[in-house]
Amino acid sequence: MNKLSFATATALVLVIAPPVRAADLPLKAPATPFVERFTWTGCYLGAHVGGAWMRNSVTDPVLLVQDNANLGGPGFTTVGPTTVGVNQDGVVAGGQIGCDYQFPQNFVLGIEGAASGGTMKGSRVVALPDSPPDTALVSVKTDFVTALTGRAGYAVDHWLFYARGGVAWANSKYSVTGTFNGGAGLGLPFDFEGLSIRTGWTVGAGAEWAFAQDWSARLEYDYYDFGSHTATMNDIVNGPGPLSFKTTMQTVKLGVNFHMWGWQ
Amino acid sequence: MQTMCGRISRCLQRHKLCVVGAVAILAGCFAISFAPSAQALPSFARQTGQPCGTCHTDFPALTPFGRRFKLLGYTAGGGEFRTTPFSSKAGADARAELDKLRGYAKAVEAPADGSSRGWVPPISMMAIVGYTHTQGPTVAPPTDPYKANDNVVLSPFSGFWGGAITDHVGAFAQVTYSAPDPLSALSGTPADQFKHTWSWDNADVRFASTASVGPLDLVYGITANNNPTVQDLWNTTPAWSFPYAVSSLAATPAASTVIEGTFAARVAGVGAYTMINDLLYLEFSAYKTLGFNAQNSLGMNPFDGPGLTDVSPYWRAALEPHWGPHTLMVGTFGMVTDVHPWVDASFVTGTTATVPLSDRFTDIGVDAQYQYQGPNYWLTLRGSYIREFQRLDASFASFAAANPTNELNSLKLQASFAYGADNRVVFTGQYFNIWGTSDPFLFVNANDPTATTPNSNGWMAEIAYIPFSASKSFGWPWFNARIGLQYIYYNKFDGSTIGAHDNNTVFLHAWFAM
Repeated sequence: MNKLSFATATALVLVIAPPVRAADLPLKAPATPFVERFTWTGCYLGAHVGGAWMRNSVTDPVLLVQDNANLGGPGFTTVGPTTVGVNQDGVVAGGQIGCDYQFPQNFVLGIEGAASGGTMKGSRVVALPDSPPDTALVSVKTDFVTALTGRAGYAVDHWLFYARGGVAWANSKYSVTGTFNGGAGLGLPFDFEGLSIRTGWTVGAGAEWAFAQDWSARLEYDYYDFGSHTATMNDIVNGPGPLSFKTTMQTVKLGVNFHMWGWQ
Repeated sequence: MQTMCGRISRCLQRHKLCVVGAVAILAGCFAISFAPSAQALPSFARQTGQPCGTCHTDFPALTPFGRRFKLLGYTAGGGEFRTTPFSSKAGADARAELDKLRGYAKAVEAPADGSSRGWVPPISMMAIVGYTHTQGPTVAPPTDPYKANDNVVLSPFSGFWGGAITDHVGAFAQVTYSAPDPLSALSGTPADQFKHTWSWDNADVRFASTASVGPLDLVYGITANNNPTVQDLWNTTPAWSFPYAVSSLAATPAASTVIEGTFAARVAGVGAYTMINDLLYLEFSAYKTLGFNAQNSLGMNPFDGPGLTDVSPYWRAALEPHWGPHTLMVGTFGMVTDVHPWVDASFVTGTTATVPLSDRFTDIGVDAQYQYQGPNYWLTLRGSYIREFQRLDASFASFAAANPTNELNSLKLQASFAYGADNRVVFTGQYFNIWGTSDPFLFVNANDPTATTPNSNGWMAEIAYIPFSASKSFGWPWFNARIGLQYIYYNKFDGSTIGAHDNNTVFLHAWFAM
């Protein structure tokens, strides 16, 4: 990679060069050294690792348990929905592939596909008010996140500052578990399980630095919103029931890219 | 694995619903089958400097060159990048001696000064996005996170190390994400806690070298791998056999022989092999299952397998005469496996113990392949037959099997025609037949209570389009794709013709390798 821009090189020549005398003039002008300009145009393949934090608003796990025909039943009808928050956190790691095009004005447009494995887990204990002191454990686990995004940025030589946005997907597993006593020591275990593949949107921003021939590193923040989703929660013994989730996620990722096909 | 990929991907496993204490003929659950996830890896292309079509007639079906690349331990170089960060002059000389085996492909000019070349880690990724339609509903309710039919699923997604580590050691190792089973596939038992979506997948680490002993020209090596037949050079053996990509949702026949992926990624094995005079291939390996905790830590649900095994011997012999554009192979392979079934596959009692008695499965296979390279096409004919002798001491004692001994047979006959260089189109057809002893305890079909056999048979047809195969065109050596349309037709499914057609499957998929 060339460190000097053509403009800088030209300016240096003008300032440093000694005055030219007629006797010094060559018969033929020497070839001007040309410093090829660095460009982000090209495609890349890379990997990333980082942290992820998710927030879920869950409505209504209490009703799911207490109004179940085999647990609380009709006599335990819960009044009104209640929403509880379940936070998840964990590590994301994965890969990405993308292509960029740098315009002469240093604006860069690109597209990227990314996939990450995740360890985001979180749980919360909620009270079952109709059968104190019973509780239910609400758990959420997310293990796979993918995204297809466009990015727009501005290049400053070997640095690229950019924003991105697009569509994202997340695979999550939910569970509501515990033992229902109904105030009478019934001792009925429950284990409601649910699965979802969520579709949402994402926006983010970051900075990328071309630190070596063909290689760059970047630091990026992304926000994801997967909207609201009602999952079927199934208990093999007690039957199914609905549970709603509103989910957002934030990530900070450090990545490295290898630029293909003679990126310079 | 939950994963698949089995035959794709994850590989290569089959989801089998285990009957407690039972045999490896597992009742089929969801066919999130693990088919061989196989691969034409861009990292191999970068290392060898060859276009994908040099090694593959189709992904992952191998050409003669591809088989020798694998034989030599994934170490052959020739590309614009250094083969390994440890390359040495001695290594280069040794490899030069092997180059005669590489005469199956047009030579590609390698950079003159190898020391000036950079090294890029031989890492690749793979993703398959597929649309599945079955004649009857694909997924039983509750279907979350899928629909009852007509699903589009990204599965599997894999990361690979594929290539040389040193001049004589190379590896193919895969980690895979497989989409989860639908909600209806959960058993509701404590065993569900061991289901995973991420797991290790096919792994094959090799040492390879050459020697001359009198008139014998030897390539020899050692393989350490985790799936019997994943190390094999031909696409007639189970791990890399057609179909190379399968739906993760469509049901597949419940019965299969043990060597057909039952212990994929559940075992560790080591073996020695040699190719004599570029004609006779011989291998002997031994496998043993990983312990419960090791399997679980690697992302495999131990209870999706039938149990734990003693040391299992595996053999392979193949004769591959070749003349001009013709290559023929006839061979045999097999394995003897003693399986100790789980005491409690539901984990209700919290034990991961196995019973002292075991079931013995003796698998004997014969296979053949004819491959012809035309001016602009490859024609490949393949056939394999596996006969499994089952001595069910443990299962018969626990009433999981009605007979003390059973037999199971698996037959595949296939033709593949790959036409074109770039913009290659591959037509593949296969007849398959699984048949065996009637056993009312082992084989149950919800659609037909009278069905008590493992019998399934039918046809598969696939047309695939591969944009980059023979030249260093756009994408090479970083990216390739395979677009496939596959149809599977069942005459009989799990012992019955009733409802068999409901399992007929259309699978349209896009397979990306990066």
